Amino acid sequence: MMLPPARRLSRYVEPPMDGKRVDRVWAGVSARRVLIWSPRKVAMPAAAAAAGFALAAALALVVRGRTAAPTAPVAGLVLESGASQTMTLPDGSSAALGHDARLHFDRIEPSRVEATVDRGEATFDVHHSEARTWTVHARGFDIVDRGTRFVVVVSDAGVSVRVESGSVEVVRTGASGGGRKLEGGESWTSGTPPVVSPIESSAPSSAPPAAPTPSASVSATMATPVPTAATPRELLATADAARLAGRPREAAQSLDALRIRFRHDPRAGLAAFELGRLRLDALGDPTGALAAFDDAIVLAPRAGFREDAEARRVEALDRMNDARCPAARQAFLARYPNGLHTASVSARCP
Amino acid sequence: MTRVQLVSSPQGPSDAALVVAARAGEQWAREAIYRRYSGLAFGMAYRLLGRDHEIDDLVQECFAQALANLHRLDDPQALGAWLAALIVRTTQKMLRRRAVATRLGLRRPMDPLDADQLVSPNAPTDVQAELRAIYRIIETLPTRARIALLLRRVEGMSQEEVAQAMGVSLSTAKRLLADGEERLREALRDPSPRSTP
Repeated sequence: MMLPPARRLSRYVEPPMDGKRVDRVWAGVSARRVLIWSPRKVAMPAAAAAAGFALAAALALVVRGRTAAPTAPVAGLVLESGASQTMTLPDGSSAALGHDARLHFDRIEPSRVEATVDRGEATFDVHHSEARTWTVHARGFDIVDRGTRFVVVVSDAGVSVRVESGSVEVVRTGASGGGRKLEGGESWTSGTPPVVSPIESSAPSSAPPAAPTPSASVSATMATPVPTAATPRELLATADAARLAGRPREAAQSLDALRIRFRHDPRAGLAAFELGRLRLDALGDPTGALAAFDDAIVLAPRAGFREDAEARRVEALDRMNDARCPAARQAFLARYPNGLHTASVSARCP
Repeated sequence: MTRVQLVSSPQGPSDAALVVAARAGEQWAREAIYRRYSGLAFGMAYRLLGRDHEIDDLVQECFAQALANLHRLDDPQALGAWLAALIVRTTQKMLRRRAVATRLGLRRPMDPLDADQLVSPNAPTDVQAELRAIYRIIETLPTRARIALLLRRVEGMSQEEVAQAMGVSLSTAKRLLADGEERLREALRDPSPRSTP
């Protein structure tokens, strides 16, 4: 069969465009100014990849062991990321490491999993089982899963825990009680400099810190994920570089830090919107995306991207199978009857 | 960088004048370059990626790179072709990274492309058939063959222009196109949705 001669067909494949979209992208370009992009390879260090695959294999063995013969405990696995990475365990639980994070699995058994975050950000999405405990150690504190999704960040500034859904309990290592229970949307930070071994140490910390009790500073807002960059511009630059290098989780961390720490910055709304897009499109996290889109609308109610944010909000609710979706769709269509996203929103949550 | 049909500068300062002003730090010129070529960039990005939700990132990155590297543009009047090549290469990098990340399990697989959503219902039936076949097979092609096929069959570039935009030799471009067009022939022969491996 002969192909028809090549001809220009591009006019039949055009994206939905309007001035707001063009303006929004220009806002992103101009915010970056003359930032020189330095392409960074996505490739993980070979050792990290090997450790990751070893971990997956080991966990597969463990989970199979729950329904077959007992397996020997697995201990001492180290998962270290040069780039962000996510390991999904055979039971559906996952551990996602941010850039330059180090996670040490101390023990993986059918009845319990224990891990230590040595440095950086690790996000755990744990399928709760009454038959198994899941505990994360971080600089003298234990975060005990109660069936949840939570983020642990270990840095020079201390330890912070953010619960996105479900609940955890934070207790001092070795303490028998008196812990602080955190529910979805709550966060906690140790708030004092660590007194344990340097972050380069691969050994899980065991020394009790001279830190306050876990009840020191619980807030109902998201914890600042301890960015390395200090200014909004640096955070945006970090986010852009990470996003282009294929590290959406790291990019999300920087954007999250910007919107939380610099709420009066004119770029905070855009950061929240971009965070929502990343969570929805690249991280498969519609719940987190919804929170970010809501925040974007609060932070920048008159921004050019408001319509986009509201449309993506409906998309997030749809992907969550959330009962609020039809009402959100109707509200959107009433507000933007001839909008750029009217057709796609109309098809949501049928 | 001649014979590029993608460029059509509207009235106003020439591309060369804009480039010179932007290099001198004039913000208005930077924005004028963006606005003059944003349509080209969004369109190419959309057609090369086949999805809408990622093109904003891609376009933003391309212009950020372009505006930071205008000093590397030898012929300021060839701005359009230079930008088109930048879009092609940035898209290629993005697709490669995405493929690697997906293979390593670091990224969830993308949903299949929706040709019905991509192709205008106003296109003639033969054009619709060809475009649907193209977007049905491109995700089965290696990244470079995918880009080459789209540049040739959708953007309407010549083989030489494909080679130039991709930064490969003419013989390499021909080989990549031969692979893609063979798959396209098969897809047009059997238009069922799963006709390709």
